[in-house]
Amino acid sequence: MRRHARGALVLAAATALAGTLAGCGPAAHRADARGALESVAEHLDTASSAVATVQLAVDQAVAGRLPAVSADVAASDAAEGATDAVHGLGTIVVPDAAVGGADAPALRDQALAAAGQAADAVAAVRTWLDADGPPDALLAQLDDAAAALDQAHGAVADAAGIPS
Amino acid sequence: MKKLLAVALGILTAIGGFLDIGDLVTNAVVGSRFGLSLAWVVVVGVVGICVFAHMSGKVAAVSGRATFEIIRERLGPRAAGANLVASLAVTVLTLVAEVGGIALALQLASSVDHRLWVPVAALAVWLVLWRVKFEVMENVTGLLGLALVGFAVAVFLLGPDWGALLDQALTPQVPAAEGQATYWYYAIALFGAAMTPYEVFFFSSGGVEERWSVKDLATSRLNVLVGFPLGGLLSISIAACAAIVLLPGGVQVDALSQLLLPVAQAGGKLLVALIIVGIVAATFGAALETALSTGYTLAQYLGWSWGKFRRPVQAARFHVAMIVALVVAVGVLMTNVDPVAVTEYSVVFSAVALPLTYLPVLVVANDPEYMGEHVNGRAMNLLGTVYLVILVVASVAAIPLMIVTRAGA
Repeated sequence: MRRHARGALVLAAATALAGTLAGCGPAAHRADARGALESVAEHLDTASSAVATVQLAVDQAVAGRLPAVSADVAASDAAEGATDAVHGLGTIVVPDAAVGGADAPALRDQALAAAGQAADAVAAVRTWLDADGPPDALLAQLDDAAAALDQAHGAVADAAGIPS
Repeated sequence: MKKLLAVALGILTAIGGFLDIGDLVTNAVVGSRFGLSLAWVVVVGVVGICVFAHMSGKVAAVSGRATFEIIRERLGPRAAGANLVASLAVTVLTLVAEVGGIALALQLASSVDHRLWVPVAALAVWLVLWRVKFEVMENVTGLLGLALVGFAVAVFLLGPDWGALLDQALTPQVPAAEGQATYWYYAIALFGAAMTPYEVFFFSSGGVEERWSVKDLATSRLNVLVGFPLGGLLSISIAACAAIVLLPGGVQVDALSQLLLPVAQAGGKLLVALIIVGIVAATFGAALETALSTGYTLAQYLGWSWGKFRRPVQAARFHVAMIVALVVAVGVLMTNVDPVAVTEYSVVFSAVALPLTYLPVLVVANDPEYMGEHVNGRAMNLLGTVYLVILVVASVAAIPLMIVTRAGA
């Protein structure tokens, strides 16, 4: 009776271990293309938020309503967020599969390119704050980055069935 | 006249001292993602903190003893020990967040990296704890914290669609882009931010520090019942600023600097400067309170001499405990951890620990041995019990929701 109990305990522990590895291990990420695309969408949200933040900061700085030091901190925080999004997207393993009729790795690549463009645009804000020149070119660059992010997010959301 | 001034000062410091980094960050995050659809949680949290702060203040005034002394005596060393470990862990985590908050606020005014401000902030907190009198410390930070009224001013200057804002607050709905689980996760975070456990330790020990007696009960009740709800209105103002400017702009708050954008839009550089002063004061005041609370809980449990009414040499272990807590806070922040992320976790873990803090307060407030004729009445007990149920539900749901939502991602 005791031996059976011990055997059952070992079996339960082995099943739990196997379940944990299957559920949380890298295989789970590879197997779940939809989940990977959800993570891609989250990183795109982070990058979009960073771009929207600096757009507001630049508008306020140009209007003379936000002190230069505070604008610099906002731009620096946004740059950190945008860079984190690029790094995050770079580390997501997307399975080589079609999701919702779209090629998942291609969607990830599109997202990575858009996030990279956003990170460059956000970084340019800090340079602009130092130089204090006309903001037109910078705002256009930010608008382009925002549009690229929107487009990438839309494509990912359509494929993964996420509300955009 | 003197009495009236004292009451007014108490109310003003209660308003100014109500907000801390947890309230600032959580309300801004929630406002930028959910609009005012979680404003009801602030109302629930404010009523809850009023109920329990009043109870713990009454215990201190009637018995002349602070919460943790009585918890140990009433529950025994083992149960009180478990309570101490949980409460201390949450309070130190909150201290980490507050010191990080001071550093972030100073960064906003200087553009110098917050990591360089962390040791300076901790040193300043220690110096005040060491040298400044309790009343002066409480009144100065509380009054300067009133600068956060700037958020309420900003809401008016932004000229929002009041009908839409009221609609969001009165008929709360989960936005299409957010899930139910995330909504409830942030509801618990807001609740935890409003009812942080250190507030009770500080309030009851502060009552002993200021030598409250039964005569002071009316003043204490006024401070709580007027000051805290007005402080709650400031919380909602922060969420409203975020809801008016950041939500439509697609900005999700993950940095303290983003709080300034609606303020700048509303009132320009002057209002921004006022808000930065308010954030420094609020986080500094809360850092003092959390550092003191670590000393209070530990000293009261272990029977050490404690209190700022004693000279440091007469309460050496109490002061050493606070220094150790500050060193831990600096050490954690120097690992490059994001203070805003620490804040988000601290309010959720506060929610987890809430019943441990509030149940003993309710028990003691009903014990005639300590309270004599001042035991809770029926209405207060009913409210206390209802809140205890809410606290337990929030505590049990907090961690599963944190896992399911990946901390509100």
